[in-house]
Formats: sequence, structure tokens, C-alpha cells
Amino acid sequence: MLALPAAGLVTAAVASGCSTTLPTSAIKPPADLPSARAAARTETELIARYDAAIASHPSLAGLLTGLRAHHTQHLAALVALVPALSTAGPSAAATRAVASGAAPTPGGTAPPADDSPAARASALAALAAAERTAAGAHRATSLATTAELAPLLASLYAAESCHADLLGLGAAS
Amino acid sequence: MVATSRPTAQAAEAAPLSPVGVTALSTLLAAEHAAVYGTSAAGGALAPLGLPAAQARALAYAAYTAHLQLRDQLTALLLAADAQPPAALPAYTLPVSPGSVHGALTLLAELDDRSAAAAYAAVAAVGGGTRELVADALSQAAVRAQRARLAAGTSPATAATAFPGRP
Repeated sequence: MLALPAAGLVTAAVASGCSTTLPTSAIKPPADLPSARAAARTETELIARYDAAIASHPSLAGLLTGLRAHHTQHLAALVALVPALSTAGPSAAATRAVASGAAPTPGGTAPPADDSPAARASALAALAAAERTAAGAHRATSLATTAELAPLLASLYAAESCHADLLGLGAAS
Repeated sequence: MVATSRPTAQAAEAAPLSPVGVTALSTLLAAEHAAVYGTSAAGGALAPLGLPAAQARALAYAAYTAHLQLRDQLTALLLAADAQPPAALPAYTLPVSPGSVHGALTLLAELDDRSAAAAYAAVAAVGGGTRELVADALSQAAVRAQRARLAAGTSPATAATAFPGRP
């Protein structure tokens, strides 16, 4: 699925008689790549936070796995809208790996984490804060970006706001 | 609420509206008229149900005041752009009957989902302070819809949606 846009670029390059360099801009009007990249980085960081929290608190996995899945969907939607995300930039490989839903690769066995109720509550509160920060970042980007990218980023702003609210309720109970 | 700035006084710094923007805001305003009617009906249906309905009543009231405020802001924006804001209908067919606490909560979630969808559709059509108003409206409607689903007993994983407002 992710190979298709790249193949499209190659086809376009060949068809236009340009055999030495790939076109740097997309076939459609140039996307706001910096904004898309910032949003993708935000999602990648959230996924890493969820992975760490799930590893430390297996009892929270039911809730957290579902929310983590939203973030992989967010990343995939960004890549679908801005295919250049997966073919350019230093974090492209990471973006590709996470967007394809690859499972996290545990790098050795971590020391047993504190899984007490208090530690779980503080983990949820920390995730809620991270979601709130991500919501603010998506909000700011959605206001500054193109009409092509703004609706998706506004939806991600709404999604992270909902996650923050949900995790906040969980941390308080 | 979540850390979202309330959509107040943003109308004053709104960018000029394109014809597409006028259409999108008019569609959103029509959804807000329906939401004002529906949340008010939910509140009315919950009023005699006493303590067991207290949480649902609070959600209905919060949704009602938010939709009322957004309705007024959209109306002001359209008037400022020399456009004719759509008027409210005398009555609306409710998508869910608010006759029970569960029904009222399901209605609240449905109304806010519709509002979020209309706000999502408007994001690309407007810019500047108006886009800010619309994006905040989308986020706040999504949070309210999720709270209503949670209160109705939906599991957290199902109450949250991956792409609020997106068709």
C-alpha cells in the first residue's frame, strides 16, 4: 500500500521524460510537508509513550491498546494524504514502520515496573498530559496549514482532546 | 473541559468569507439550530427524572449552552459577511427519543456527532479566526459526544473515535 505512491512518482518521472531526477514536488499541488511531518512526529512520539505505558502496566492494556491504535491510524491517514511523508525525511523509516502497524520491538527486558494503583493513575495522568499537548500542537498546525491538510489535523486535534478527557477520567477514578 | 480555548470574541477577527465559506458556515449553523432544539428537548425530558438523571442533565445543559453560543457566533459571522443566516425550523425530528436517560444520552451523542461532522466540513472552507472557531467547535463537540457515550455505558475504547467529524 505504501509502495504505490512511490511507484506513481517513478511512473510520472518516466512519462515526463525525466530520467535522472525524481520530481521533488508531488503530482498534486505541493502539500504542506513540514506541517504533515510535525504532525507525524507528534503521533510517533505518542505511540512510543503508549508502548512504554502498556509495557509497565499490562492491566491498562485493554484501554491503552485501543487508543494506541487510533494513533497508528492517524499516522497512516497522514501518510495517505501526504505520500511524501513516507519517502522523504530522516524519520521516514520510523513513520513507515509505525504506520504499517508494526509491533513495537522490545529492546531487551526492562526492569519490573511499579504497577501499583498509584503508579497506574500517574501513568494515565502523564498520558493525558501528553495527549493534551499533542492536541494543542495539532490545533496550531491545523490553523496555519493548507485547506488540504487542515481538516485532518483538526480531526486529530479533536481525537487527542477526547483521549485526554478519557484518560483524565480514568486517572481520577 | 480539555485545554481548548473557548470560542469567544474570535468572530471579531474573522477573515473575509468566501462563497464556499458562507455555505459551510450556513450548514454548520443549521446543525447548531437542530442541536439547540435537540439538547433542549433532552434537558426537558430529563428534568422530571430526578437524581438518577443528574449526570445526563448536566451533560445536556453543557451541550445546550455550547450550541447556543456557537449558533450566535455563526449568525454574527454570516451577518458580518452580508450573508443571510439560515433560520431555525419551528421543530425538528429527533433522531433518538429522549424519553429515558439512555435515550437522552444517545441523542446528545448523536447531535454532537452531527455538529462535529458539520464543523469538520467547514474547516477547509474558512481561514483565520473563523477556522479557529470551527476547529475548536469540532474538538468540543467530539469531547461532549464521547462523554455522553461514556455516561450511556459505552466502553471507553468504543466511546472514543479515531477521526471525530470525518465522514
